[in-house]
Amino acid sequence: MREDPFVILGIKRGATQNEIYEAYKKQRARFSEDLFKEGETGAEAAKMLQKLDLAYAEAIEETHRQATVTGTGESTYAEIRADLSNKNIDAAQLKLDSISRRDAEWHYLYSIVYYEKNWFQECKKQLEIACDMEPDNQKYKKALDNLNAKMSKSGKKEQFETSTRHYGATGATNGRSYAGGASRRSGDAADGCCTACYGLLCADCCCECLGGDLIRCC
Amino acid sequence: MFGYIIPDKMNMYIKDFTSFRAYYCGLCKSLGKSGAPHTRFLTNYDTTFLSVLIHSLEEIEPEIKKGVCVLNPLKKKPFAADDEITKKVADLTALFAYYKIKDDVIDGKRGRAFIKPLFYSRYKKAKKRLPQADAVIKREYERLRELEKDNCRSVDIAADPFAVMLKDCVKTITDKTDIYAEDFLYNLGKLVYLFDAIDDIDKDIKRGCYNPFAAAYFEGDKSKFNRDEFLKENRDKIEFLLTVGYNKLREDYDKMKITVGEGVLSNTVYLGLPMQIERLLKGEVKCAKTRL
Repeated sequence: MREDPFVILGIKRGATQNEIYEAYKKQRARFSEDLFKEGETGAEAAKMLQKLDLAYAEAIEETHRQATVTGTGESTYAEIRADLSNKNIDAAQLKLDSISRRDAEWHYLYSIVYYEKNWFQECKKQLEIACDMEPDNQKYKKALDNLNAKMSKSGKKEQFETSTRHYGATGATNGRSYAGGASRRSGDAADGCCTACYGLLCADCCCECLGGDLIRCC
Repeated sequence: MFGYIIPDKMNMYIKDFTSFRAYYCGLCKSLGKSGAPHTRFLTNYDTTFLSVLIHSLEEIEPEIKKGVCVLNPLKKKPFAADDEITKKVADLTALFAYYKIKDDVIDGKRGRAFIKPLFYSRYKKAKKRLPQADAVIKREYERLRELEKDNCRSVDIAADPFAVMLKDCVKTITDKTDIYAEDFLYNLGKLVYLFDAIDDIDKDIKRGCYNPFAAAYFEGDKSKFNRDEFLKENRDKIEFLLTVGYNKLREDYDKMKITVGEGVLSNTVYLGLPMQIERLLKGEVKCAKTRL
């Protein structure tokens, strides 16, 4: 016969997830102590620990089912998603913290919180956990790929495309100068000439710092 | 601060360089006027950048005047007139410098203890004028100390106080910031903190000080620490942190409304910062000595 998980944990039906967790921790600590005792008590404790794990998972599952049906209890993911899209990052984080059942979706949502806070390394960690827990989920995988793609999307690519048209095309997309990058590494004859000029200017700056002057006019 | 937010001078138009120098000279003059002569030396590139940025946020074009410089009294040079923003940035510079020195002293740099009193009077003046900014810096440095004491193992968390500090300080000077500007400043502060942490990693380990990268990724015998090896082994993680942060900053910058000093700002964001990242990933040590 299947035993009631709430009876095993010694709590009332309808307890919150936090209460279930507390009860589970307490029971577990009790049996863990007995685990290494000799004879019957040790074997019994091992059996009880297994039962406890099962009961805990079932009890949490139960509250979760109830929460989605009645909508009460802990904050649901829908609320958190609404918070995130309204940029209520702190509120979303608080709600996530209060949830003790941490599945892949939880880690995914937490990664969004971290992303909004500009904590990219932590964001990546959460996404990786989510992907590990549900390797088949395309949403998590795509999010992680997007984050990794952010790394390569720098100015480096454009740098070489626009380097030949220095004054013309740079930054044409948003009206900003220098957006196309610099032609630092394209070394031809004209570039050598420029380097020399820059060198002179640089030397001028150094001289000026020390009180002298190399090029009078600037 | 640290001298990481610098334009790429080699690839700068002369007009932008002139404009950048005008802001720099304006800040220097403002610092020289508002305190003892030696406080002038607190002038640095980071706060010059902030000065340009705040002018742009406030949409105020500073008046460019011509005047002589203490270092070269014979030649007149253009400089940005000492307006309200420049004065506030000068105060902010004094605050940053004073707290940096204070932090260094706590970290055990004895030499810094001697120069601390030199800047105390200027610090007090700045504190009086910008009490909110002072409160922010004090609060965030305390938060950083706490994290250091706990040997925080997350680079993101360790960089948070510094990033928030830069963002909130600018917010106390101007209320014209939008979410893009705030995110931009957050990531800028974060990058500066990370750059400094990478540059100082071997020194920090030798001295037994906290370093976020060492705390997060280095385990083992501290006496056998090898900078190049460490950077090579953890290149992926470091590159990820720097480039993702930088790309977000760049994205926000593209969305920001830039009204004044566009050339200077764009050069620093599009060329100057990637130059620093490239240098750090190559493992080269910063050539100039760290400024205040």
